[in-house]
Amino acid sequence: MSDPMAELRETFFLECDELLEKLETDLLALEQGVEDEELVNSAFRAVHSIKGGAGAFGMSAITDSAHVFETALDHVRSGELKLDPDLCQLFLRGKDLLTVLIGAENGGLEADAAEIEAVAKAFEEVCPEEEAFDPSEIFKPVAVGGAAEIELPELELPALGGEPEETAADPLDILAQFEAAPDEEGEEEGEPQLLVRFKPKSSFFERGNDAAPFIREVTELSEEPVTVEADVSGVPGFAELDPEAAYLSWSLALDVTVRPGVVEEIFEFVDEDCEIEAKVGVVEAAEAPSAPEIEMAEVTIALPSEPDDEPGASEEAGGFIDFEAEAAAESEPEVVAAEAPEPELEVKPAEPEPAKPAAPAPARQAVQPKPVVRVELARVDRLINLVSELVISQSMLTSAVESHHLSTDNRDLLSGLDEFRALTRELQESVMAIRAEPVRSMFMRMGQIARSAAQVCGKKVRLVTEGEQTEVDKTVIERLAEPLTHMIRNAVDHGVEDTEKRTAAGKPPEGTIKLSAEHQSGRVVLTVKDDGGGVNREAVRKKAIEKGIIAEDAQLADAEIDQLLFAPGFSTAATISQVSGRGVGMDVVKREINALGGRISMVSAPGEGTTFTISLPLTLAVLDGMLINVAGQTSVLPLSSVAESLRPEAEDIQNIGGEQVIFVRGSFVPVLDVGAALGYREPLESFVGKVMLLVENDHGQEFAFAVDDIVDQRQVVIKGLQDNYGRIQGVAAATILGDGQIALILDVNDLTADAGMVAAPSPLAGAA
Amino acid sequence: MAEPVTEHTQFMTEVIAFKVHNDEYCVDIMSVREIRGWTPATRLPHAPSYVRGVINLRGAVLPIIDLGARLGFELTEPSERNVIIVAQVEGQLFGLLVDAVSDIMSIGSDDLQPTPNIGSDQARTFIKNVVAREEQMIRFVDLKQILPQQMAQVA
Repeated sequence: MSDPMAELRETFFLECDELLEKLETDLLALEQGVEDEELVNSAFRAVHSIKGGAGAFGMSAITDSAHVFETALDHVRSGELKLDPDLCQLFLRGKDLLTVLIGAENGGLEADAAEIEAVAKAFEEVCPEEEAFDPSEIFKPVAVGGAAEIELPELELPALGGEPEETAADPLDILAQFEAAPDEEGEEEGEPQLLVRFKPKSSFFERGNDAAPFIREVTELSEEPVTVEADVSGVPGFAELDPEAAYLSWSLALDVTVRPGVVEEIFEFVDEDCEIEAKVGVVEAAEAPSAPEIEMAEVTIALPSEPDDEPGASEEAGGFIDFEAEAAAESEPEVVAAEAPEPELEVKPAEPEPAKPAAPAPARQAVQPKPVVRVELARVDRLINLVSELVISQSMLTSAVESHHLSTDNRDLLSGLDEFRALTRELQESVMAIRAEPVRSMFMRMGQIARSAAQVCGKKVRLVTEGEQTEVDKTVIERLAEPLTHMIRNAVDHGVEDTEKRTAAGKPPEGTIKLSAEHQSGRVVLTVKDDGGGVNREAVRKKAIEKGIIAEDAQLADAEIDQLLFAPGFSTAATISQVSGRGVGMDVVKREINALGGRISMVSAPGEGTTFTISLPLTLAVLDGMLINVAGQTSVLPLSSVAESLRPEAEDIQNIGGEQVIFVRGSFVPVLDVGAALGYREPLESFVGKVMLLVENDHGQEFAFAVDDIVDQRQVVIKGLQDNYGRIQGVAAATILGDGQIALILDVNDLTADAGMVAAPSPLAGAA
Repeated sequence: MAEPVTEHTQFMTEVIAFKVHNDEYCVDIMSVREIRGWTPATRLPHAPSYVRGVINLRGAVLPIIDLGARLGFELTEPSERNVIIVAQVEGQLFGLLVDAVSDIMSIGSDDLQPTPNIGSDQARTFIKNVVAREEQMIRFVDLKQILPQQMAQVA
């Protein structure tokens, strides 16, 4: 990336993702009725940061939408607006719109102009009086009463210091606030206060930031009245004045209970564009020399020392900087010192133990993000590749030692090798864990999908999520998003009934779709459950006959009818709606899931709803496999599809119309000659002496795979074949064996797909 | 397929020359990633016969193309003396099974001659130029063309 602007944009989009996620979390919490001012503040900050960033890149659509959003949030902050479910919905809608707009800037999504307007209008309607963003208005409620005497040397000059248009009003507002701020210096002389000095650089304004909201936010931290002072001494004479340069700085004196870390957090997003200093001291013209100075909290990146320190923390991005703890530890003792002369003053941070810093904002403390390092995925992939190589060379080394019979008379070597193996394994697992991430962000995206789908369908639907912390390999999550999107849309469109029908059925008017994730014996299980009317089996059946998927007189069990939904080219919606029915059906979903090594199944109860269950491997990187030998080639079958192995006698194998079947416990199972199916050799005449593996494909059909031998069972690292060669019929991927040879991982569904036409044990075989 | 030969400026191209069935061929050195000895390849189902299979190249799955077979000769009987030229064309990594690497040389663009108008389609498709050098003809292989259709689509 040579273009620095492109790099910045990239970073901005990454940040937006995090901010949007944060915003959604906050809004959903608010929607749940959690009453916490901090949530509103945090949501406001997120929107504000997006607006600021977008402004810097000239993305006016985002800026505008974020602007009305921010204004509305601000009214909530100031108490002028009451948060009710409707408003929460509007906020969520606003957030969705921002997501779409950002996506549009980033390429891909298409923004709907009507929606932009509708949301903007809705925001304007809820906002009490003025519709335009007017910082001075917002300032009023903040301003504290009391007489103030502040010198205002050059009223106009500060305006020139900042960016011409946007910031022009700010200094005035701040100065206006000055007038209102009480002058408590007199009474509280000598009392330590948290002194904050804020000096924006010109880049601060270039990025579309605005000093006033930051200052206001700082003032709100303090319970005591705050004094704000603008330092205009840096402003040069008019001749030297650069209209685009920043000359102003502000000093704020907060009550001492506010910790510097909290102040710095406010400036977290702009810390490169301004100088910010927060220290405890005495507000006096000639800063009392005895006043203890506290160093600005050092910004440190604290990495978890333990590798297994919750790898999922990576999701909690946003804050890579964890100065909270450090700042507290450093500053507190000195705070105590500062108070010493005035023992009667009760100040919270006086608690001496640094391990438990006093928290003026407990809510914020609780959501303190875990320290995180942001790493390009490609680097992690490279690391994973290298570790897989290490695993291979480790096993090559072990077999080399064994083949030379070195291990028998050398205990050191043996234990050394054991340790090496254990370490390699642990290293592999830890590296894999880096790529694992909670499904939360994807679930949130689904929330948005459900809302927009509900809006289009004119239904009331609520998406409930469970198990958001469940961790899955990032690559799995990425590929799961599309099928899941489709399933959610389906659930809204086809699953949940409209309000009248629901009311008539005695159900709550609002439909519920539950999306949950959990780990189950080495796999991750996702369910999408709606409380709708269930599958209309009669309609499905009729449609299937219409489409020629099944014969008119076919006798199908309920479960088989449900399976028809997965048949290619099937869609139950009578009309092609905007939501689902885009030509992709559940068959595509099923294919996608299968391609991920997962399975999808569904259960439907009339009148009660439908549940789809997806079971997936935790990672796409390893697989439990059975190593088999076919025509001199070692191949791998996924262990999950192998039921049992047997060595048939001549009389077990029967011939039906040229096809071989094997008699296993009372039923006949078609035989698949793997060597011939892969084109390695001519079909075998006799299977005597071969090994038969009973294998079940995704359609529940059983086959007996004839192979030459079983070599081993082990976990294999999956290597894509697609990148360098392309897709091969019957082969899912490749792996590297202990001797460095490549073995192909066979695709059971693919291999049996051709055979299925012949074997056809169920009426669905042709369709599914 | 032949590219026009510029007469005014002479561009020098570094090539790796190698032997297949006693004939001299060469490929642009910029496409060559490394040269390594033959290791047995794992066969790929349903692949054309000149795709000898895949080998492990430090963790990557590397398809091997038997250049001789691709050019219409019979399949190479690979031994330890055979060589794999690991090449990359448009992001696609693959290995060329050849008999031996003979030289690294630099060829001026003036030396490149269009492939003679011969009857063999295969030759005209896979050989983009010929170079006359010391009484010998060196065939300049068009790497992009020798990939099987399936692989070309991947790239």
